[in-house]
Amino acid sequence: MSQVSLDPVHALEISTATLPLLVPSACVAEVIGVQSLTRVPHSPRWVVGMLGWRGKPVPVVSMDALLRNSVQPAGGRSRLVVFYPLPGRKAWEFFAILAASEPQSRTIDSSILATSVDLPDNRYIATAVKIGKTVAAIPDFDALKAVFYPG
Amino acid sequence: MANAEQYLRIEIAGTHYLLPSNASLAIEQRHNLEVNEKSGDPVSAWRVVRSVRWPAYAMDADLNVTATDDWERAVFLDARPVPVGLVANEIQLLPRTDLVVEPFTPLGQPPVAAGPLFNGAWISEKSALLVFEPKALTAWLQSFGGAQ
Repeated sequence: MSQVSLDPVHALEISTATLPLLVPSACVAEVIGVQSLTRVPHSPRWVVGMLGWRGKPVPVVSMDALLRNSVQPAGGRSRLVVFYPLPGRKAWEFFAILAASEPQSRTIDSSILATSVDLPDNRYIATAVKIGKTVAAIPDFDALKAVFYPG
Repeated sequence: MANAEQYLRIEIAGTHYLLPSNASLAIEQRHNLEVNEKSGDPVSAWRVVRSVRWPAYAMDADLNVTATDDWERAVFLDARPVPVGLVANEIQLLPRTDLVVEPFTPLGQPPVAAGPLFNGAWISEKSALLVFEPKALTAWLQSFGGAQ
């Protein structure tokens, strides 16, 4: 069987306490240091607050809380990874993910995508791949959109 | 979001929020209201208009109904069958030029069918204030119930 060869994709490996996430760099608007967040009452546990970013309000998500219901407090090395709005959403609907440390740049090619790893079923993970010895999960952005913006 | 409108700044349990001023039907001082002396009832006070009582509620930091005597004013929003109010320590009309409200969509399931409680925020250098969505806030206050 022939393998489809893909052009290399620039990605960011975002560390969380649960497992690293691998996202296309093109999805990310900016990585910034942690700053004070405004609490948003009646938000799910996985929303850790609202960030003021470039004068815009941006909700901040804990993927640890979303993936395994465990909220990890931000530490000195934590970063906020600001994402562009998900496809189909309004132009101002940026969101951010709380990262445990500075995201690392990765280049993803067909050989890495061929190392698909089985993870315990989680609706927010599309698949997982091996980068060296690290297993990184690729988020299912459709599932994230469904839980972020229900109805 | 149109920034031509003015906003009321409302302090609830130590946190400030904004409400479009055109959503306010009336603002009353405490001494003009009938304070609820009965414990266990969610209503903090009523505004009595032509023998009809408009309930007003106090909210805690989580924006759940609470019992507190620490309030000075109430702002009322139009609703059916009767307007509904929110008591607060401070309700202040902000000058039109002072703020720029940006749209904001809270994530996750909203607490009422009318949608999220907030639809905007004002980000300044010092702070960030959430802006109430009037219809959702009205529905949320109505969900508290209590004696009419």
